[in-house]
Amino acid sequence: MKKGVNKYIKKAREMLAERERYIKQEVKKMRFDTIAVHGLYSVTEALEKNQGAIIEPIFMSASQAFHDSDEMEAALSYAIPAWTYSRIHNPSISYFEEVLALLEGYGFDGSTGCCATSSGMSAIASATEPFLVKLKKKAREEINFVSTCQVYGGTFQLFNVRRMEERGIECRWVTNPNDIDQWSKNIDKNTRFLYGELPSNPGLVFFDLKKVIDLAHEHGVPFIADSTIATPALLRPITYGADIVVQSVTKTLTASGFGIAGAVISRKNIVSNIPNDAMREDFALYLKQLPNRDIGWCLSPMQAILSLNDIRTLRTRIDILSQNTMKVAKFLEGHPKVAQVNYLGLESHPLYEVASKYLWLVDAEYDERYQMPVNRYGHLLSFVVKGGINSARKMADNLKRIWRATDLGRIKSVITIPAISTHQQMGACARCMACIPSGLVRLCVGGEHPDDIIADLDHALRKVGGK
Amino acid sequence: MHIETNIVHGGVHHDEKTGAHVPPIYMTSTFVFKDVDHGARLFKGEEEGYIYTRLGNPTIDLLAEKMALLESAEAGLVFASGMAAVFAVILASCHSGDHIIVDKIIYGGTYTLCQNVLPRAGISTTFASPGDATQIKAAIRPNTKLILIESPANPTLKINDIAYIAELCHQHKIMLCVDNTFATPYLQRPIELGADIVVHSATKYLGGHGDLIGGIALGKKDFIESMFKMVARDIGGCISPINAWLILRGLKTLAVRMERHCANAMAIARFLKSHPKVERVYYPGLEDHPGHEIAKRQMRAFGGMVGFNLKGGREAGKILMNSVKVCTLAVSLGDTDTLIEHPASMTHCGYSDSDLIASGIDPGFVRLSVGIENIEDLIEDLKQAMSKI
Repeated sequence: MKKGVNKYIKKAREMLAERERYIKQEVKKMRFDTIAVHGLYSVTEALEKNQGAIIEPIFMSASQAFHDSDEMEAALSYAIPAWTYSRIHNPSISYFEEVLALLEGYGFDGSTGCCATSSGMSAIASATEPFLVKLKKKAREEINFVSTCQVYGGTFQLFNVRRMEERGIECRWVTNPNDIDQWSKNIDKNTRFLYGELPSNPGLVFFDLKKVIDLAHEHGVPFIADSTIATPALLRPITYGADIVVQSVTKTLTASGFGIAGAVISRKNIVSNIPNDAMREDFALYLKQLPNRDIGWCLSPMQAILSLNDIRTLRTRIDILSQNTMKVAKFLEGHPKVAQVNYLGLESHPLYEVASKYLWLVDAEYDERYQMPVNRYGHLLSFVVKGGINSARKMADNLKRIWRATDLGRIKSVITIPAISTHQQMGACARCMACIPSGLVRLCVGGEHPDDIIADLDHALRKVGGK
Repeated sequence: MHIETNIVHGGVHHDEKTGAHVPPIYMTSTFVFKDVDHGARLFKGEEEGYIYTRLGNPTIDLLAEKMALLESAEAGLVFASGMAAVFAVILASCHSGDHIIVDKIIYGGTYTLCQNVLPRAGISTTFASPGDATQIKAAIRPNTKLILIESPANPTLKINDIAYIAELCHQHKIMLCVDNTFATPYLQRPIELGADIVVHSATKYLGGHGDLIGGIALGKKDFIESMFKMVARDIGGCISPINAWLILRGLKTLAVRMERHCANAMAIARFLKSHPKVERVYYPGLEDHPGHEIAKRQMRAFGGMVGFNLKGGREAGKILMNSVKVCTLAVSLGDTDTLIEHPASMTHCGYSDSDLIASGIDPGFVRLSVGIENIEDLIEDLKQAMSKI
């Protein structure tokens, strides 16, 4: 390598070593809220690089200029951490990724990395795609993966149509993820990964995460978790051994609803039966530098900073939203027009025990108000109105404050009827398999005062006919 | 460098620390100090640096520097809106008890500011026609500090002889402020013609895409500094860094946009002039426009704004408004889209015909902010809408 190029590599190594030290000795010792607020953006960095700006700047620039051709060569060959071109990387995106990597890795000894994507679906697609590569020269190669069937409608479509129907990659659905035998029976030598969404949208299915992760690792394959509904404030699958976490950052992580964003977070040295060392060592970095560079589902720097700004208040927000939702769930449970309420925080829920094992408000023991571990169950619930789809529609049409929309995670309460919206494309049969009856209503409770939300629901439910 | 090159490159450098080709948006309200002494030095002005975005921000400063270069000014200050910029200029040049002269033909917002707000600050206004030396001399008082004009003026596209008025002002030690919103520095640079201050509604051609509100005032360094200290620092009125960044982005295509705006406007003016339902066309590019010769002298081309009177008055205007399909009914101007406004049925709908005429607006007057669409589509649209009258 040229001397000039080496000069840059040497400088970069010193920078990376200092960064490593800073993470290990300082950031890793900070509490969740501190990390959410600051990430790796320090006073030193602000002063040295960003004119002292206390908020991370929005680098709305397509490309990076270099001092000379040596630096360009070093950067483009990934010999130094540069950002080069915003499809590959960008300083603003970096701030955002560092925070998510640290939060998903909170309480985990090892290190984590993150690759931002343009949406939650592109996070799921990019987290799973590298495992579905052909390993043999044969024209047809049996490839499969195993997934809970209680997944978001978009994920179902990706697995079922794009992967299975169009590419012949078999998705083996697990209908009861708490039945470990069902998982086990589906795994064979051609299985590339296990996948689960928990809690699931909209059915609020939960399962014993640790058992499934251990099973995956026994078979030498990674476990990928969609942890969108829980967020790292309630659940960090990597601390239980999960290899990769996907987030639709659009949802609860960014309650403001300012845009679409996704992220893939992985721990170092994932378990995988794909013979690719770079991919195993640092999956997020590999994704960023190679497949996602070539595919191009990059995030906008503007969106990265807007999202980052929301994430800073995650823990307190989730705490309040969870408490509001619990109050609404209890109200619905006692309502004569409601046949069933699915909320993991209700003791009547069949998965209450297993959910309570995993869903904890992070750092509650250091919170002046609690001073001990506290369960919180998030702000998504679903319920069935007596009288089926027509009653559900009637109720939804009579709401005055709660928004009718296909959205969740907002600071504003939003209601959806999945069978005619978010989960319409998967068809009646698949909905049945995923426990989504036609009269199911999904409610994501926002930051309004819960009494007002209850009053709105009560008023709308009164309009529904019957006893 | 030629202005086209400065429009693209001028005043904006690559971010040295990160190499970003396009400078970042410093979306931060505040800036950190190295230590207490550093903060104290910044506050005392002993060291250059950023403290708080109302007082200065790297993204906003880039815009001010770039606009100063384009307008041949020493310095500039960016505001939340064009009106905030105009107000700051007046406040910075006058004390309570002072007097200003404002052109009779002026944007309505500026007119209202002078009528309703300035008296509360003890500043009085005389509205006069600054092209007329006797009128101006009669209006000048010992306490007159500023003359404010537009050229081309809103809405009748009146042309003011900037060099002539500047000389008149300087004979009486009065500052001349030119609102250069309609022309932009690509077409006309008032400071090169002798003006002391230039103001802009950056919302219009500078931003160019109708997605923001912003303003800027430019002039001598000491005036801009005193405007900052006397007005902006304490009153606020600062722009958001993201809007400043969007203006920087819009500015890059100013030259090409203005070329198309001007070409389309000229073609539309000619079309309207030959139309039987049109009584009169106001466009400085037409040879019979009273300011045509002056405009030719002080402007590179004649801008994208066209006004015209319909023979059928208020009713004809309403029909035209309701019949256009490509032109958009909206106030504001300078967007890529063609915007059409009929004061009698829109902004001035409360005025009777006689009130309108008294304020210099014909009931059949229509203002077009000609966009950069295909000219045949625009003329076709006006043609079909006119046929409904």
